[in-house]
Amino acid sequence: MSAINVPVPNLSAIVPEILTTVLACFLLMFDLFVPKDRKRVVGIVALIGCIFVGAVTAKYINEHIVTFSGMFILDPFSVVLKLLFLLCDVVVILISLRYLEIENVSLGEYYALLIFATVGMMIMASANDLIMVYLGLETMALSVYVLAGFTRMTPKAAEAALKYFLMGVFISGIFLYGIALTYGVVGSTGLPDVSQYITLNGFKNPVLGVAVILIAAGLGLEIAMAPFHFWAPDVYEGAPTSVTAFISVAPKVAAIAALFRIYIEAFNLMAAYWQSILWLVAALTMTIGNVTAVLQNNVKRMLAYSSIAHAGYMLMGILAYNKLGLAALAFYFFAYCLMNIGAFGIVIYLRRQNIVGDNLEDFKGLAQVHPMLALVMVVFLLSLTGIPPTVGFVGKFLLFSAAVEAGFYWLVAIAVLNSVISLYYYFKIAKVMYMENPEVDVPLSAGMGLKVAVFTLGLLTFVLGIYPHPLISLAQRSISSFF
Amino acid sequence: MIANFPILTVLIFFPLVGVLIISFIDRKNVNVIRWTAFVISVIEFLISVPLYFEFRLGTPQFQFVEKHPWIKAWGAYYYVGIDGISLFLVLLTTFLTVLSILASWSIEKRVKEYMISFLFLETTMVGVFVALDILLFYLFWELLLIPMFLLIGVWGGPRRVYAAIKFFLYTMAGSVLMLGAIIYLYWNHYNVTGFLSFDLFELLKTPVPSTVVPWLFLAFAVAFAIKVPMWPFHTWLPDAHVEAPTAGSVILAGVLLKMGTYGFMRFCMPFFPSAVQKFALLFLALSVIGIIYGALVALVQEDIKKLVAYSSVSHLGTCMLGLFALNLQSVSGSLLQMINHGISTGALFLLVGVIYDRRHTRLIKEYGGIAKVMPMYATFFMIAMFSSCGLPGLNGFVGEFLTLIGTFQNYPIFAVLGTTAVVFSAAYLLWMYKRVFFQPLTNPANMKLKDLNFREFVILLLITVPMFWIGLYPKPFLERMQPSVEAFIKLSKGEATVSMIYKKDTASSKVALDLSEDTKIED
Repeated sequence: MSAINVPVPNLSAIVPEILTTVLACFLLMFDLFVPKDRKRVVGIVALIGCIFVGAVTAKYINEHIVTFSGMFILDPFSVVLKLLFLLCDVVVILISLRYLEIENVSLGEYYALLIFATVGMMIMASANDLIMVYLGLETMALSVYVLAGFTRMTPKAAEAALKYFLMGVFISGIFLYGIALTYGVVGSTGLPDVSQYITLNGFKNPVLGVAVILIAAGLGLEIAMAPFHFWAPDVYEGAPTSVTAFISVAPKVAAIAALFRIYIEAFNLMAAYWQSILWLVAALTMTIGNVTAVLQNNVKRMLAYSSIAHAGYMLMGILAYNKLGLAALAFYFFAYCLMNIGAFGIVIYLRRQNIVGDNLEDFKGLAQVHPMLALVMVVFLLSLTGIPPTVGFVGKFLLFSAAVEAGFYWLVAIAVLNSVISLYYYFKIAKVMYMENPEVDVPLSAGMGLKVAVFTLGLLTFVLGIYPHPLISLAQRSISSFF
Repeated sequence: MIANFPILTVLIFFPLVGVLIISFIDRKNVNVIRWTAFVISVIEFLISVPLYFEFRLGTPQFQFVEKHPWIKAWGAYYYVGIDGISLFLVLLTTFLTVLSILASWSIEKRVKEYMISFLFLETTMVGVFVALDILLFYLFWELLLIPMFLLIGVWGGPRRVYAAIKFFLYTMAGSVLMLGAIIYLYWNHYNVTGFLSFDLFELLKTPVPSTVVPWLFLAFAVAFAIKVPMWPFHTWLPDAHVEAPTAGSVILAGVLLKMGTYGFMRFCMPFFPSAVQKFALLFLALSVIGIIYGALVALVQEDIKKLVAYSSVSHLGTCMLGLFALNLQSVSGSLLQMINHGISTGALFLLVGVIYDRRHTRLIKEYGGIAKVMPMYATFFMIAMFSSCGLPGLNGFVGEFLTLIGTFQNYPIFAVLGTTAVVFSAAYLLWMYKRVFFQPLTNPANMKLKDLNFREFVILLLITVPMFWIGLYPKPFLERMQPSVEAFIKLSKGEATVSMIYKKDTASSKVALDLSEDTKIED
């Protein structure tokens, strides 16, 4: 038996991952030396760490490195995603700092877990092998399960964490099954190998067709796409709001990106096949999300359903399977991050002693008490609906364009009608803010970090809506390694 | 010519300056806020006046054009300009805004937000009428919904929230359909020419596959028909009108409805001449149904404001009839009728507002004989009423007459049916007038009604002037419209292509060429 020849991997490709892991470990240690009532310091260190890692990562934007025997790829797309995850971290840390104190769970581990989850997502973004995707997925998911139950004394949070965990474990089994089937047919789990196999042998083996579906199902949980979306509202509602903001954006983006890479790199020749399935899934996802959101009176739940709907819109980007679709997807990731975390930020803003701030009633008369806050919320709502001049409109425009270009006219029609439905429930919030009178008289007491985060996000949502050029060129740059 | 003065940009953004100023005024200084808003709107109107005088006659070309790159990656421009069609709509907007703000003195609740919304609304309205980049147009078109939503929903009547949401949903449903069509046109243009552009003229030039044309036409047409509103898309209108505050109704009737007809003229019909031919009968029929239906429903209303609202459905039906009849007289008449409707229905809403402020009811049966206690008010009401039902010598006559004789040339039956509008409008308005102003003064609450105060008098006087002006001497209006109307007809009939009508001045085409280089998506 000959010795297994292990080539030396190019470590420079995983510098962002290494740095992030180091940061997370450092936070865990550092936390030991911080007194209980000063845990905010850990958050601030994490914040600085993320910005530093981001600055380093940004330098790799033009690199294209494949390493670890082809399992890991560093290309502009993955770098842009990594930057997005770090951006999410920064914003989520900002909105968490004071919130955790109000919730009485100001623990240093929170930040460490957030960063560990980020490592997982970074790996997913760069995975060029199904096993690698799984690795990243699990690293991310395990951290997120804990985060979801972080306010462990509240039954809702415990329920959320357990539900999330059980569903996650179950689905990851399905995902593994999909990988196993692929391996059984192809003899490899590398994405290029799968593609090569299909090129040579054609798409004759039905097992491969099953694998394609199972893999989508495995990632579909994190994406919260129909019919794997049932966990989302409960978890989103039960989890601490800052965590909800995080899991409604970052893992979803990571999973969509991974699904995209798998479908484009490995199963590209089966495009017609997965398109026909994904078409239905996308239409179902956006419709279920929007229609159910109409019935909600809890804003967190409403935003949960709305985030399901947004997953449906984003799937259109994969579905379009063209250059524009990918650029649109990359753009929408950022847009979605800004507006969705922003909206959750406002919910946190309303969190006061004894008031959770996530009921529709809690928004009553906000425009009279805090006109600026209400205005920013309206900007987020407009953006989520996709009304100009907001970044959400630009994103939706790009996604719809991509689908039109790819000839999915009916899907665009469905998506467009969905936007109208979504208008109704988003503007329920605007309605209570502007057209009803305030009921409770407890002053808002937001911390500095939250204020900065919410207003910066609001400003960006607006400015990038009027002048989206920088973000579009970033998105276009990110796709240079595809097609 | 005021060379190089970016007058349209100033018109679009000047109200925002007002928004900025007002947002720094303490909310308790209600009068300061009102006066600031008023002064801003007056200045805005004064800025818009030179458009009328500097407008070059005898050419369909767009004037006061400004073009700057906006989103390079998409080939989107900040591209504005006006022609004989939009000129008067812009003037109408700035004029009615002044009156509306003046009529909003009676608003006591959250005046600061009210004035901010109103000025913001003005920005978006002007933007819609001057945008020549279809994305820019869409931006203003959508943006406009927000201040209007707030105006109805916050300062409206008892069922305001319902009305506001209904208004928003209806319009949004139409707009997203239009967005779909815009996206298609945009990519079709890219596939044909290889560069990206939202430029109205570029898109007009590009041939569209004939199988798609009807769908695109319908997508645009539904969006605009909801705004007009054409029967059967009109059901949001009575609610919105009845619940909106007086000034909101004035703007809604005066300007917002015109955006629908304007959309037909600027986009829907010139873009798809073959579909216009195909659907002309359908739209003519819907217009006539709207005319008769609106009038009949108005006849039985007990609420004066609702009556005026339904009369709008009827009048706008006449406008649409004229547009689809597609000859010089009918279209000119229709365009004039749009202005007229803005003025006379605006005046009627203002008048209803005056009496509502005093009695807080708009039910016809609550009144009777008030001509005795409010003679001045009765006089103005009568003028506005005659203007609305088309008495010769007042503006309504000119528009309606032109529209109907124009339509008669091409579609005599529709014209005959449309003419009933004149009869009906006389019927419902005169009957209402009789019940409100004449008959014995029995209701004790009406005995002590005060006649117009100075502010109200000024508003009504101002709005009466153009009624006589257009009624007695419509030539300055018609001569400014004519070349653009002719261009519109040729385009909508498919008799001429865009490049035959709109000459691009060399400067702007060069910009387009330069930028098309980097707007290309590298394959």
